[in-house]
Amino acid sequence: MTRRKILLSAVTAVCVTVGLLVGLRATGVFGPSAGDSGGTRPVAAENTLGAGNRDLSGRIQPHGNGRPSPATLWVDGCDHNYVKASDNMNVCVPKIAPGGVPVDCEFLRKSGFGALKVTGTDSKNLAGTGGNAPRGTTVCAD
Amino acid sequence: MTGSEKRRRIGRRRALAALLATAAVQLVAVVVVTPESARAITCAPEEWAGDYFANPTLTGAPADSRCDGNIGFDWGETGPGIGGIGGAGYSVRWTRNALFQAGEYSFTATADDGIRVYLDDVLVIDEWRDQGASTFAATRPVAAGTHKVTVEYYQGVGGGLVRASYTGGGDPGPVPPPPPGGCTGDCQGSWQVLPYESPVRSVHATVLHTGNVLLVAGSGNDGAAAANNQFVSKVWNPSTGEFADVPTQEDLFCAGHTQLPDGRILLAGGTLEYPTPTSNYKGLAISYIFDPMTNTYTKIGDMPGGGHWYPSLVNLGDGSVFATGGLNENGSGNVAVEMFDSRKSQWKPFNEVPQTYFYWGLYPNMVLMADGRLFYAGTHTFGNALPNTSGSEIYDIATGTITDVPGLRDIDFRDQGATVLLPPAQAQKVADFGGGNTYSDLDPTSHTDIIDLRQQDPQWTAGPDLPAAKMYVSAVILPDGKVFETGGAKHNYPEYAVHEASMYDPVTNTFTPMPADPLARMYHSESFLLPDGRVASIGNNPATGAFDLGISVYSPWYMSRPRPAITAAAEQFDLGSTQNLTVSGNIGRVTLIRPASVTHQSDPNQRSVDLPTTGTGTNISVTVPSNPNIIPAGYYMMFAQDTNGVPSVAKWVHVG
Repeated sequence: MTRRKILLSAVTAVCVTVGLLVGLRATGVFGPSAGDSGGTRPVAAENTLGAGNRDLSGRIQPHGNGRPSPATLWVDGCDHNYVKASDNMNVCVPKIAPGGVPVDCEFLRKSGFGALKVTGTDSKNLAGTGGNAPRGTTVCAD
Repeated sequence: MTGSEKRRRIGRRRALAALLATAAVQLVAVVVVTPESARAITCAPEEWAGDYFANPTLTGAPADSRCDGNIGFDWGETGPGIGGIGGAGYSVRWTRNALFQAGEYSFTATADDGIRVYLDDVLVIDEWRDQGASTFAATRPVAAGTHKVTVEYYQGVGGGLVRASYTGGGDPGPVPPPPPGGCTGDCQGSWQVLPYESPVRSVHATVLHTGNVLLVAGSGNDGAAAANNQFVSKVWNPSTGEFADVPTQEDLFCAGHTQLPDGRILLAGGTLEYPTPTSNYKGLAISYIFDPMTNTYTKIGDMPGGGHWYPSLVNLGDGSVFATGGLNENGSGNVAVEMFDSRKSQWKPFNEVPQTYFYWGLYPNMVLMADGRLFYAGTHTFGNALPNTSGSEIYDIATGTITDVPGLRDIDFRDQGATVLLPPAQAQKVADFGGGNTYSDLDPTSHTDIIDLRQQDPQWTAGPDLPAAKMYVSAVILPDGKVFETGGAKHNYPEYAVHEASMYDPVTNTFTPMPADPLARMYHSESFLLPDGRVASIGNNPATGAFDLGISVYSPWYMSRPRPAITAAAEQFDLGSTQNLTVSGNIGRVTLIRPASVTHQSDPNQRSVDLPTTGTGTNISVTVPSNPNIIPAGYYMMFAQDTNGVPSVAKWVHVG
């Protein structure tokens, strides 16, 4: 096999592989997470107003592809690793505090929070153990 | 067969009898009568009369005829569901005689395959050929009066799709004159904290045409209540202070809601699941109708596009309700557009609603424009980190086109800012007040931006700053033509509450400081106009999880003045009609204010419509706008304002 044929074969193999990957993604095999695969509800024809669409101003926003839009974890801006210790009510320990102050027990007490219980990861290190406090640990108690 | 059209088929037996009785006449008619005259149905003025042909050339008598609420069908390869018509080789002619205001109108059509649009039998769009889904638009000047619009469509082979509408003119009529009179002294008004508390974590408040207020908590941002299926709704009588319990079966916390054309309340979406250390809030697809006369919910079908946690519901001119936004049943952004058919009390099938899959965010504040399009004002609840939520757009529902609107400042600081269609609705001006960014440690904005949607190419312009920078802002239209802004905070902690309120005057474009609500009003707070002209504020849910159940009521200046009165009026106001009112006082202005249906300070349907007034003394006449996009159907609070600027107590009327 000549060098040119070897090169041609390699390029062809790469193209086929990429094509397969693109195709699999387009068909959802390598799409977004399984929970939002889009296969659980009817989907009308996608992007029917795609290329060639004309409106009066020419300023057309891009349309989605029919799949749900990604959402930030804890879209409400709260760190949901904690609940109120006394009754397990959900509270809003902020991901980030006003004015850039650290989210620590001092800030939380000042803001009116009582004792909290860790339900996930002690992401704010409120137990003072390097974030390794086990679930169920009470933090920021008076 | 679609689920949204009012079907009026000629019965088979009746058709056969007619055929036998008039066979000879029919034979002649086939030769000399145009296809249009073969139509045998009568449709409501806002509907399209559709003749469906079992051939692609609109030839011969239609296989069937029916009334369609709008032209927006994605029939795919299954066809329109008409007997004798399959998925290929058919055609449709729709006609509608509609009342137009004078102005430039934009006709838009999308089709796969051929499409033609006529105005008064003159071609406006002519794209009669095989093609993939393509959108076409044309603009024509239209004189005031009734005009015939015709849309012709054919489907060859492959998937069938057709949409057509006209917007872009949408003349909202003349801008009404400024309100008469106005306060000249002792203008501050006063607050009262009621001696009783709300028995419900009122995250959602809807003023009913009975004068009562539906307060909905669902689980009320209490995960333990949700886990125990403890869902609460109450009906509050502001006159007596009584609360009636409303059995609530599912978690309507974080639903969207609005008044339907018949005065009942549609609630859609809710909370499927609270967040965990690894997941988001998740949305329900449920929907209920609340009847103010019986204080009961009736469960109806789910939204076909899935769960919506924080959807916005917007009333449209044709009586349907548009819904979009929020998080779905998996905690991701729901990109579906839902459409509620009010006449059938059910959601349209997903594939009958134009879908662009654009994500509009959480509780996106969208305002119905005079031409039927939706204006997204760039304010929302949370979501600055999500795609598409920052900035402002116009959305054409019928065609699915989205047009960017420039000029809004602080686009990443409009979380829980207020949006209000300024009075009067005919002026088509929208204001954004304040807003923040939940994901930032920075303070919110004091900026106010205003846009005039009557302009050909609208863009935001800077307004006067709020007296204080804040988010969680409520804006309430008052019957004297002002907008009362109240409540808010810099951040959702008690020490950051902003105790400030002011009166915005759309005529002078100024804020005047007013007394502040004695209670903090931050997250999960609402303010709304009561029928007697006062403003009620309720709810407050700081980050600690506490919930303030106190109710405060603001009495504007006019509450301490002698009030004019509407002593007699019809209960029903048809669009375009002239109505006689019996009044006391020297009346200079009459308005219709849509009762609030508000959550998270967001009420996309809030509007005040001026009724042109003639006559003086005790008998006056008012004219109801004919454009249903200016005044969507439903119950309204009618106020008569005297020449001193003092409004009456509201009289309830039904419009549309």
